[in-house]
Amino acid sequence: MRVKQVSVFVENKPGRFMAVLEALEKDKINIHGLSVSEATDIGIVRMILTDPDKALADLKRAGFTVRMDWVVSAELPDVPGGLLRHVARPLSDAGVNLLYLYVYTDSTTGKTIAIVKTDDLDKAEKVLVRN
Amino acid sequence: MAEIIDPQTGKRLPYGQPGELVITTLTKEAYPVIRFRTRDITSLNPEPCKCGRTSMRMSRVTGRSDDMLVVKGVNVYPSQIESVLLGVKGIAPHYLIVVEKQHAFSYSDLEIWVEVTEDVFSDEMQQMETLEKTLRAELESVLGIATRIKLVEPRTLARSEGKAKRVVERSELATPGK
Repeated sequence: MRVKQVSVFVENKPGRFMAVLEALEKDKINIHGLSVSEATDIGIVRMILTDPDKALADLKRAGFTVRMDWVVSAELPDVPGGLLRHVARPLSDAGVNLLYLYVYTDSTTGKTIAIVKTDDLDKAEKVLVRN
Repeated sequence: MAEIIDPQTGKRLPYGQPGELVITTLTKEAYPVIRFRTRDITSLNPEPCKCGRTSMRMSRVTGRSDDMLVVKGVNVYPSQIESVLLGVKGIAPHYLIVVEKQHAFSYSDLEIWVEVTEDVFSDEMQQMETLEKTLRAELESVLGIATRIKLVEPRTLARSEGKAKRVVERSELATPGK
């Protein structure tokens, strides 16, 4: 299924990541899944949160450059081979190219989730539902 | 023939006073100029030199009356940089030029800080890399020298009413290293 992901642009220097988290603290927004992608001067912080719309507004208000994107969320069993059998292999077999991926376990539901962005989200969604 | 003028009013200034150098060629055939404004700030000294020479002397050039920079031997105008940034969709012309000092007036390196707004921000790192590459290529094509681009967060670059301070030397930057 698809979920909303909030992405934030930060400079690659001390304190910027902290500032992102501080912006979310006030409204007690909980982060479920998070991934940080880094390059020489910049970073992209991607988050799956309890309230993505509110998070986006809070971050904007704090002066960050942000965006909302749809990504595919797939459940997998938290066992060896889980990611391989339920996510990586099905996508590869279908010829879908991964752009980025990160995994987290939701403590409230106990489920392990893979967040996936690909070059073809429709196909990815279809393929992962089957698996 | 050399004159010094006030760059604002155009009035001739007396010897010894700094101002913009204006030159008129007297014997040149290929590229004659009449009261050509060089935009260099200097002062003239008609006194004979200790060595005996009596030709007009000028002091070291202390600056420009326009905002031209010399980087790696090439003349660069901030307005060129601005026009490139305005040409890239989504990029606002909020930039900072960071130069590395070489000698008195020539710089050895040019780095341009550009703010990332929502219009150009992508969740995919490769899109951000492409943006940086595109900007670098466009600037190199327009300026004639290679530059570096540093993408920065919005509203981190100073805006001011009127003329913004667009050029800083790396040594002036608050954060060491970057």
